[in-house]
Amino acid sequence: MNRYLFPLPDFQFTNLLPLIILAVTGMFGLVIHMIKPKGSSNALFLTTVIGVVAALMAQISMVGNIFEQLEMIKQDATNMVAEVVILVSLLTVLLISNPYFKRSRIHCPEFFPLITWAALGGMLMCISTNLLVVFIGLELLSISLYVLAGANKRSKFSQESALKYFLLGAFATGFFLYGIAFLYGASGSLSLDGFMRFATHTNTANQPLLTIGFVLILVGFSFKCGLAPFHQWIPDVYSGAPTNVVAFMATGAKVGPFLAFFHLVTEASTVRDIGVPILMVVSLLSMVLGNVMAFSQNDTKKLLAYSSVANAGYVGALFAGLMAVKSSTYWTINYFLIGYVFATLGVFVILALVAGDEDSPQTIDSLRGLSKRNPMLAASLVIFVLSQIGIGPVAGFLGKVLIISDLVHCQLTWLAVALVANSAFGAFYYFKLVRAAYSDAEGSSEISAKPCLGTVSALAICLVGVVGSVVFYGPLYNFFVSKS
Amino acid sequence: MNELPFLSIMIFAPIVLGLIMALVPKWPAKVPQAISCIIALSMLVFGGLVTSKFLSDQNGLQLQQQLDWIPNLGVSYFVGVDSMAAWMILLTTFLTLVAILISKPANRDNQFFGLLLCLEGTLVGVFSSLDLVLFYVFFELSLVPVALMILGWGSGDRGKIAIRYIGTLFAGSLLMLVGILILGNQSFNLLKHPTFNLIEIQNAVGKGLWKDSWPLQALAFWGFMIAFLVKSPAIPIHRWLADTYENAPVGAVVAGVVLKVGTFGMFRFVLALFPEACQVYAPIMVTIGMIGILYGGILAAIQKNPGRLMAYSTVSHVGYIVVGIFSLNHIGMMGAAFQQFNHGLAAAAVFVLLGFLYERTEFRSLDDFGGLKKTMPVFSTLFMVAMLANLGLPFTSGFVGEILSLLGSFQSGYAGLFGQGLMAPILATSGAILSAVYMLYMYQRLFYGKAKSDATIGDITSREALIGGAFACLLLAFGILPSSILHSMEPRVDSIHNAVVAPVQRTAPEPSVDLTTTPAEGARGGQS
Repeated sequence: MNRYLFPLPDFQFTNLLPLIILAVTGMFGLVIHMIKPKGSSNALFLTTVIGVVAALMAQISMVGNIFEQLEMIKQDATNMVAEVVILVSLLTVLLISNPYFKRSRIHCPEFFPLITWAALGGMLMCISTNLLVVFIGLELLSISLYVLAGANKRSKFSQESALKYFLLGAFATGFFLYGIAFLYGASGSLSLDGFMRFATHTNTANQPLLTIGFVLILVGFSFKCGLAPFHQWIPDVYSGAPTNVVAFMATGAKVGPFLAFFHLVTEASTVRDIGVPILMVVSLLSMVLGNVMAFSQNDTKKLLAYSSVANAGYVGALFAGLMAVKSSTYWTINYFLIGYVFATLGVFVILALVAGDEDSPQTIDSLRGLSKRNPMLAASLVIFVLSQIGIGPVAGFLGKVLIISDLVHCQLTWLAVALVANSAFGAFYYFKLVRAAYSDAEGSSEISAKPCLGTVSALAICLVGVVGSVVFYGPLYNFFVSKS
Repeated sequence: MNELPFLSIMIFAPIVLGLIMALVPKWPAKVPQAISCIIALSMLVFGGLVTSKFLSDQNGLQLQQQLDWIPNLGVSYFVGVDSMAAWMILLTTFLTLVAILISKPANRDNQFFGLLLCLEGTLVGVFSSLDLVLFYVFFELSLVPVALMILGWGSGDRGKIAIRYIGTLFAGSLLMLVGILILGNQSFNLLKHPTFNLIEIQNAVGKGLWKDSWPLQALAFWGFMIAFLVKSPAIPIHRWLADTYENAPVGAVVAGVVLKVGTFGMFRFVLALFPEACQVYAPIMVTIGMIGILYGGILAAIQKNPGRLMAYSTVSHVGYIVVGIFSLNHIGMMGAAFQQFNHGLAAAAVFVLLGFLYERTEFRSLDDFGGLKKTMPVFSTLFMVAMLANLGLPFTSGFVGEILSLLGSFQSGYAGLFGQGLMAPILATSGAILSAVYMLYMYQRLFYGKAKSDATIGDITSREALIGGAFACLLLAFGILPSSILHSMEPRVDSIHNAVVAPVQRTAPEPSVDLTTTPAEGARGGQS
């Protein structure tokens, strides 16, 4: 019947409108840079922001639009929030980037296209149901970030960070790919639910292959999500890379891997016997290492790096719970990511603002005297820090409540106790940031900390994310859940 | 319901106005204090209105207001007051007003007074939440303004002390979150719909919420108890209080730290929600209280800094409250309920007066003072009343609370109720001597003997005398006529007492504990 040798698949391109807009925006950015190599950063900035806003609007208008195409891409309730979160965090990072680059005298026009594509990769990971598409998304995300980590070409720390990230990241990618190969060998399918298909075929001879494949993929994901013991790259990379790049690395770039991981975990009930203990150990290790190591850090970005390891551990604990009871409740992970992303992003926005241009890691002391110079900024820092600790009506707190609630429902009460025992450390190290902001400046703080329009709107986005998502939890929940 | 949502106004008006005041820069001198004074005064009026509802025969919950908040977890914004909470709210509003009147921050006074107002709002939230998660939110949030005030206006190594304050209290309360979610899960299993509504869960406890799930009940009980013991504070985690009392600005201490949020939580949550665990662990709790009374008293007697002395004295007094609560009988609980109100007032009185003294001199050690009676006659008289109320002399309010708590403990001990003996109450009573020792000792060092320094310290001004006098009058009034509080609290304490004692007496004479019981089967797999 087909008139063509390779029939054009029945593919609704409009469903992928946000992704397409992002891809085109990135390419357009490259063209702009080619036409006008010098002084193009403002034009680039504007084009990219417009493109991202367009993608965001397309994405929001698509909430509730459920589709599945080619058995490769599937949009449903599980990933709608995550995609919006990625786009908003991208927008926030873009808003702080131009002033940050100017202040630290970093010349990096390729930043704008690359970070757009990184977000594109993350979104692809969210919606794909095919391991190869996940892999493509992962690579798009990772390679863009490898380059961006070295965006500050004058800084040897930035170069070191890029190299470390690239070498270790490539290694982890190898694990991931190897795992996919095993999985394909065992089940004959590249689909994420290949585990399930395998279960129906019940070919027990292939069970070891399947298990090995799963464990290898787990290693790959653990690396990308920053779960211990595969977290070693995080502190060094965060500490050296430019602050705005780290802001995206720690937030938007984590969402994609987490979501793909989530999809894998909820499908992989056939390897539950091995998966649940591994996830428990990995998450426990991440919580403990992350919180203990963050304790003694004086470098702000390293502190946030270890805290992100701890946060990944909380998500890991949730995954262990979901896998243990074959549950696929998606709201918890999505809401936790909202809280984590916007609180972390908020801290980075403030860090980018007080960053000097000296070529050295940024210590906590760089925040000193912030409350005198700008009480508003100091107050927002307090809110973000509280959200990270989990105090008060902020998204970070509610995210933790949802995770603990799920763990208790999954009868993993001991893991919930371990989780809170670990987050008890949080107040001790996170509050150091507030202490610095509210203590008097000593000596060299000539930074005016005068936020420009972009920074103010970035801060506003983060504040709305952290506080608004709690106050208007009901409407938010209804918007994303009842529509789908 | 068509009356004004008093509680929501009392929670959010101070928080919002306080935040605005703290964040708007450039105020003329004195204006923030005047404005916050007006706000606090109107809150005091509201507090009086709320409490007056309970002076007549009304009991039960008043002024309830409920709004949906987190639908998938069943968390709602649900506030309401009973008589005990109403008195605590009145005390909060009164102490905030006093704190605003006596504070003279060195700089950024708009931020200081803004934070005081925020503190007031969160504390009213703590006392009026009827939803477990909402309570937890306010409970933690009330730490933040105090920590920021220590950070901005404290003395000593204030950064470290602020972190110790918020870190210790936050860490202590985290296990309570697990306890809350265990309660939520248990009530979901029983009621088949998610809820954190205190009233609903309390009713569910009577219907067998904890059937066959003893380990979970024990875990949740300890989660709540650890949080409240740390907050109160009881031994062994009381170090933060000594540091805070020594170094925090007096206004922050008076408005936020002296209030007995921890023991209030025991009354409202622990007793009603974990009846079996309360009975099983009552001897342990009474022992903790008893050790606190003695240990706090001994340590208070050797302190040089008046703030630290008051901290250990607080540990000792919290011991009486804990002993009273876990005597699990009517008299003891009444005494504890009265004592938690009274101690907030009496300790605040001492701090207010110490604050007046601190303003006049740089000295902070008892060794440096002496002979103040000559130069400060009015001050020394007021201090005497506050001190006597703290040590529990008859006709001061301290006496009523202590004697009732101990009486309750003796009764339970005689009856051998819930495994309690007479040893704990006997030792606890001897602690009353200790409190006389350290209080009189402090008074002697401050006011008698020879003046250590040449600089004479003038007496307090009439405005300060007025504030101190108000405290003295209240302490005496509640000591001579405690019935106004006791009567209005009685129905509430009765209902708590019934909740904790009744269900087990109905089912079995002895609380039979089977430690091998497994958690309830068939928990839901999670909400989707």
